[in-house]
Parts: sequence; C-alpha cells; structure tokens
Amino acid sequence: MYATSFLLSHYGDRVTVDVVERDATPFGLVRSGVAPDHASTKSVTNRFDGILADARVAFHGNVALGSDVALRDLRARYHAIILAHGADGDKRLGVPGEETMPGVYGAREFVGWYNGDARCAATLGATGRDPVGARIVLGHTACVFGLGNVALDCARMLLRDADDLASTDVAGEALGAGSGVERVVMIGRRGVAQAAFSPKELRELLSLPNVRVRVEPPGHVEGLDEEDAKDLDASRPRRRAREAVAKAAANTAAADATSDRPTKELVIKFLRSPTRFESETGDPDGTPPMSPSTPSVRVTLRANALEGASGSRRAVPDASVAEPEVLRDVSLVLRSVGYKGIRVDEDVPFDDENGVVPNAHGRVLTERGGEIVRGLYAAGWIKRGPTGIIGTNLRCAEETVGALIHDDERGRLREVCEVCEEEEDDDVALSLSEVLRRRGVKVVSKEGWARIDAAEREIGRMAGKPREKFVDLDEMLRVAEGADARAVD
Amino acid sequence: MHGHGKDDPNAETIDVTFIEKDGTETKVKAPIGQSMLEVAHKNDIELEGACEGSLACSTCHVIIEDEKVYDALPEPDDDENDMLDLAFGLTETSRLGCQVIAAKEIDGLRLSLPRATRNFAVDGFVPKPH
Repeated sequence: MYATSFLLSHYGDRVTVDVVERDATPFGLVRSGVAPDHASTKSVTNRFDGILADARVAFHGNVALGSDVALRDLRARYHAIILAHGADGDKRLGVPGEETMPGVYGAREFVGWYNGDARCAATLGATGRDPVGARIVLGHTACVFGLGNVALDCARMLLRDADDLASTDVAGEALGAGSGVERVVMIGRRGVAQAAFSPKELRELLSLPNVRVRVEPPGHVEGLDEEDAKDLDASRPRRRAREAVAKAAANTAAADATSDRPTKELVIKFLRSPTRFESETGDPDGTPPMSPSTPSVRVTLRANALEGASGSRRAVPDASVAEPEVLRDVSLVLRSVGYKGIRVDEDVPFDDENGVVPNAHGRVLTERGGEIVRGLYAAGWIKRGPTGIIGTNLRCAEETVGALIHDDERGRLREVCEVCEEEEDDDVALSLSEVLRRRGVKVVSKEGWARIDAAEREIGRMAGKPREKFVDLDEMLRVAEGADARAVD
Repeated sequence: MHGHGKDDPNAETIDVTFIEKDGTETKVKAPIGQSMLEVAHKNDIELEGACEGSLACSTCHVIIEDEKVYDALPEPDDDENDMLDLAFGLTETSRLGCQVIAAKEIDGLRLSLPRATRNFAVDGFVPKPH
C-alpha cells in the first residue's frame, strides 16, 4: 500500500494502480499478522483505507498471482509491476517429528488462527490435524521455539487472560477457546545477546499480570562472555532487552519470597535446541491422531554453547552437558524461527536459498547478481526477507518506487505496445478485470471489500469489538457480492 | 490527548521549519501544545504517522537540526527510545514527530525528514529484454 501511495503522490493524474491481492481482504499482515491486542499498530489501516479509496486505485481481491493470474498476463497489461506479496512460508527446525506430530504447528498457523485468517482456517482444516483451539483448551504447557517478536506475540496471546482480549478484533473462535495454558516455555538456540526480540514487545510480555517469569539456564543473563558483551555493545535494543529479562528474573525472585504467587508461568530458556518431538507414547509419527483425550508431545532439548566472534556467534552442542533435557506433557508446540518467502509464479525469478526475489534496490534481477528485468520490481518482505516493521516497509517501498521513477525517466519501463507485439496474445486487449471474469475468478472489488468491512464492523459492534472477522471465504465472498450479511439478518 | 486550544485561531504559536526529502524548506506556525506530527499534517507535509501518534511505530521519525534545540526538549522516554531504535537512518538528534510538542523553548525549530537511500543508479546498467 505504501508503494501505491508513493506512486500516486509522484505521478498525480498520470498513473492508475491496480492492487492484486490473494486474499479477499486487503492489508496483508496488518490484518492477519499484527496481534489483536496491538490495536494502535493496526491504526495504519486508516491510512491504507485512504490510499485504497483513491479513484486512481483499483482493488482485485481473491486473485492469486501464479494460479488465478500469471505474471505474463500482468506483464502484457502494465508498464510496471511491483511484487509485494510478502513471505508466506516458515522456516523449519529440522527435527524429527516436526512435520508429523499432532500438536506441532508453525507460528504462522497459530497467528493466522487467532487473527481469523480465512486461508489459515482452511489450511488447518485440510491437514486433518487437531484444531489449534483444541490444543489450547487442553492446556497446561506450550512451547514456543524462537525468540523473535512473532514468538513474543504467540507467548503473550497464550498467557493473556481472555477478558483482556474480549474488546479486540481477535477471532471469535480463538476468544471462545480461551486458554488453558498455564505455562509457556520460550526456547532460543542462542543467548540473550543474540535474541531478535525488541525491548518494547519483550517488556509487554514480561509485565503481564499473573505471570511469573523464570530465566534459564541460571546465571546466563548475568554471566555473558567477552564476545556476547561486544554483541550487546553494538546494539542498544539488545542491551535494553537484556536489562528487561534480568529485571523480570529479579522481580520473580522477589515475588517468590512473598505469598503473592502468580497463577501462570513464562520460562525463557536460552542456549537450547530441540532434537526430537515425540508423542508421550514414544511414537515419533504421533499416530494414532491426537484428540483431546490422547497423549501430548514430549520435547527433547540439547544444551548449546556459543562459538565464533561477536556479530556471527553460532550455537553448537555443549559437550559438557551429557543429559538431554526433556519437557513432558506439552500440549502445543509452536515453531517461530522465521518466515520464508516462497515463489508464487514460475516466471518470477527467485532466490530459493534466501527466500526472496533477487533484486537491486527493488529492481528485480534475473538471478542474484544478474541482469535487470525491465518493468519488474519488488518491495517488502519478498524483496528484503521477512524482517522489519511497518516503518521499515515504508522506507523499502520508497526505495523501490524511487527506482521505478528513475527508470521511467530514462525510458526503461516496458512499453505496453512493445509487450503486445511480443506476447502475440489475442486477449491482450482485454482488461485484467475482464480476463478474470472470463476465467471465473470471484474477484472482490473495492465495493466488495467495503461491504465486508462494514459487515465485520457491524457484527463486531454488537459484540463490543472493533470488528468480527469472517473466517469462511465463501461467506466473505457472498457478503462482498452484496448478499445479506449476518449483521442485517 | 494533545494540547489545549488545538483549533483556537488566537492560540500562541511558534515558528517551525520542515526540511522535506527533496530539500524544500517549509516554514509554518505551530500552535503551542501541538505535536509536530499534527502540525505536519495540517500543513500538507508528507510525514507518515502510521500508528496515529500512539508510540507504536517509528514512521514519524524526524531529525532535529540544531543540537541546542534538541537539548531543550524533554528527554525521550523508554517507549520512544524503543521505537527510535527501529527507525530508519537514526541520528543523535532523532525524535518521533508525535512526541515533539510545540513550546516556547523550541521556537524556531528546524526539522528534517529522513530520506530513503537514493542510490538508484545501478552501475553498468544494461537493460535486457526479458
């Protein structure tokens, strides 16, 4: 959306922008990624609403690049294309049982579930695994692998009292499931000096009421070596995050001395890697399928030591610790060690190793270090990899649009007529909307999205929430077409 | 939340100069009590405010041109520092525009908006049809 905004402000009336979106709804992770209790972060949707409302902007929702429409369809119709579809995959831990054990999920699935992401609901249903909600009701202990901000979101959503979420746009199903989880164990392979979490989100988690915080291994946060100290010196956020962890651990020690015992527990384990996920019966395939009455996950961890110099410290097995650590009766395991971009269209150059579209300042290249592909650009996570926040994406989009304008001024964009000759496509005179209509794609237009938006707000209003998201795609499409929403029944 | 006499035409004002990304300087009157984010928006200056001044983003990052003026401002609190740490092109005199409130002590304030890298020219550019 920011790229659209920069294009509009530079070109004025000389530009139209068609936004092609896989989901039926716009705004990507602001809708389906940002946690429900971070309402102020979601305020940016007010800004995006304004951009989308502009008469020069069209919206084609529920249109997936690579399946509903191919890059070559778009290349024939536009002077320039900006890929900004984010990073849809997630990195694996590479541990036996990770793919097969019921109860082990990617953080993305969990985040999508509490955010009412229709796609996520469909994916989870298709795999035949337990709904995440069943796992949460089951409760007791949840493990989160990873120490980034997504991992913090997951831990916070598991530990927060349901009452605190009732007035947010959390998915109705997630709110209804509540949380039986009493203990969340966050596990990072490296130490506090290398953790990716940012201090503000960390403090928010550490200061949840009714949650006692324990940090392991004992002495780790205080006893950092020289290389760790250099990592901390290089980064104020990491210094502040470490202070927050140390302070929370100290507060817990103080609280333990009193009778005022919190009811839930957060354990942060540094220098640990998983080696195995098994069902409590010991069967790594986890069969028979889990149900709330069948056993939970047994997680085996190994201890790590750090190797290498500041800035590139690696976790290696710690030979001095012989016994693996075993966590019993874990009801939910979330893998949150990073997202990964995936290729969506065979004609888009792709760097599989890094999960990004190869590019230079947003200009797409044929391969890493290769030639520039005329008129094709990338912005956001598919350009840089899945890190950074809204502000980072703002600057990223500005750079990409700057490159596009620079190229345009030098006649380096594709000419539409040139493309026509090249493609020899009879349909090329048809608009994108017409092509999609002929293919039977149920496109959600701006008006359709406005109907979904209004219905969600209305249903939410009755429940005292900013909105209640539709999680069923078919229902959303019916509302978009103007069918009666539940709100007006 | 911010300030008194927000829309009062008789409110006392100070002079503020915004230096935009292309170097253009715009001098405006900022009513006492208003944040620089609000002042920028009222004067059509392109300062982003994604979280609408709720200290949940870093998009209204501004750079205070004069160190003395920077020192005259109340110090940033933890939340603002955390957000500044995530800002693009952080400097020693960076602040969030939503947290800089017009006051007599900073009359004549000059703010510049940080720019994204403008290194668009790629060496040895050879456009090849793909």
